[in-house]
Amino acid sequence: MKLGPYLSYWLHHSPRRMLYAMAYYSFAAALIGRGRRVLDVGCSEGMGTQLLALECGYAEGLDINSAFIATARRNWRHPSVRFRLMDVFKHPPIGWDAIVAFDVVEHLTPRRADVFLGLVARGLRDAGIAVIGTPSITGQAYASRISRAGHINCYSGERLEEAMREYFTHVFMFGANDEVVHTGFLPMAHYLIGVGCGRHE
Amino acid sequence: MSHTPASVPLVLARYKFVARLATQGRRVLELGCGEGVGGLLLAESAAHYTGVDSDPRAIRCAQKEIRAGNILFAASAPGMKKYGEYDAVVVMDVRSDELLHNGSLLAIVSANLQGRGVAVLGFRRDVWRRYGWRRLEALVRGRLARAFQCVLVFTLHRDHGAVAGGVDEDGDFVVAFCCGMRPGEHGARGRT
Repeated sequence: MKLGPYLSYWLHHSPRRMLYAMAYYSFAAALIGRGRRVLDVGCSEGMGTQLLALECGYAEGLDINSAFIATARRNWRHPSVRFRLMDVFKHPPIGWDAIVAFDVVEHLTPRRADVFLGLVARGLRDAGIAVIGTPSITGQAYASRISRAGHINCYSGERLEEAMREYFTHVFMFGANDEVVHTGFLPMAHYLIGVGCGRHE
Repeated sequence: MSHTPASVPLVLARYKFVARLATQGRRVLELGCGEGVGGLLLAESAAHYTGVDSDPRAIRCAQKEIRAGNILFAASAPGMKKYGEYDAVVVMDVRSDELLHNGSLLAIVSANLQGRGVAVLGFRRDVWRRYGWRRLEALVRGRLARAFQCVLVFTLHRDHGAVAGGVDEDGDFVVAFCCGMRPGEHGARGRT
């Protein structure tokens, strides 16, 4: 296995970030459960998608970055995992048991992020669940310059919940500090995870 | 509510967990509220909280000790199933698989839950140890998924307040949040 530039950078400069990211994927996988088809939007180099595939049964990773997808396809070849170079805005998903999107919405303008959440909701089966993860706005004070530059739309827990409630009847909000996911005081969480189910018709 | 002081934070942490996720702004019914201490946490952000228990002494104690504008405690009479219509029905301590298998618990839950409400069922490790967490997971994901469109299962850990998705064998308390009640699956709406 040869890691691509993204995961390599993580490992060399901030291995903790890899721990945190995989902890959130692990949380999502266990929540989704086995025997489910999971879509991972913004899969990057696919390590999280592989985790979802092994834990849930089948996972497909999407990204708009061709280098990420090429690396993912080269490294993760389990029969239950698949990667596509695809833009969900052009090819909306449909019929998934679960859709996971970590570190996506903060890169979209607020308007586009709302459209994205709608696409996610409509891409689920009736009983499907969405898991949306994003760095919290309060954590941005401690983010690196490079991270901050790409994060154009950071959320508070309240705002993420409100945005998800536009599309889901039930939204469960979690915070995370480092690798620990919790229901503690959300404004002090470094990372936010919203779980949505019961999409509005 | 608990047998040793050490279990106080444990029990309250379970209630806080449920409160953070499922009671904000909602009309909440807790079945089996005991002396009602956890009800304070559930009521904190709820529109209204009703705690019921079959033990009249526990209810008398709750009524005497806990007074707030949005809290009500009531003793449940034998066979009583309908207490009102609620946005969240909470059972923090499901005691046996029989209650789930024969549908009696779900019948009471559904009788009191509005269609878009959430049912919260909690399972304590000390109660379910012999049954086994894995069997419990199959029971929860199987039986509850027939009654509700979406069942989200979490495990709380004893010491550090962390939450895991699904059933974690190292965990202390498993909670199922059940959304999208399927009408007629447990037959309760027509019978009660």
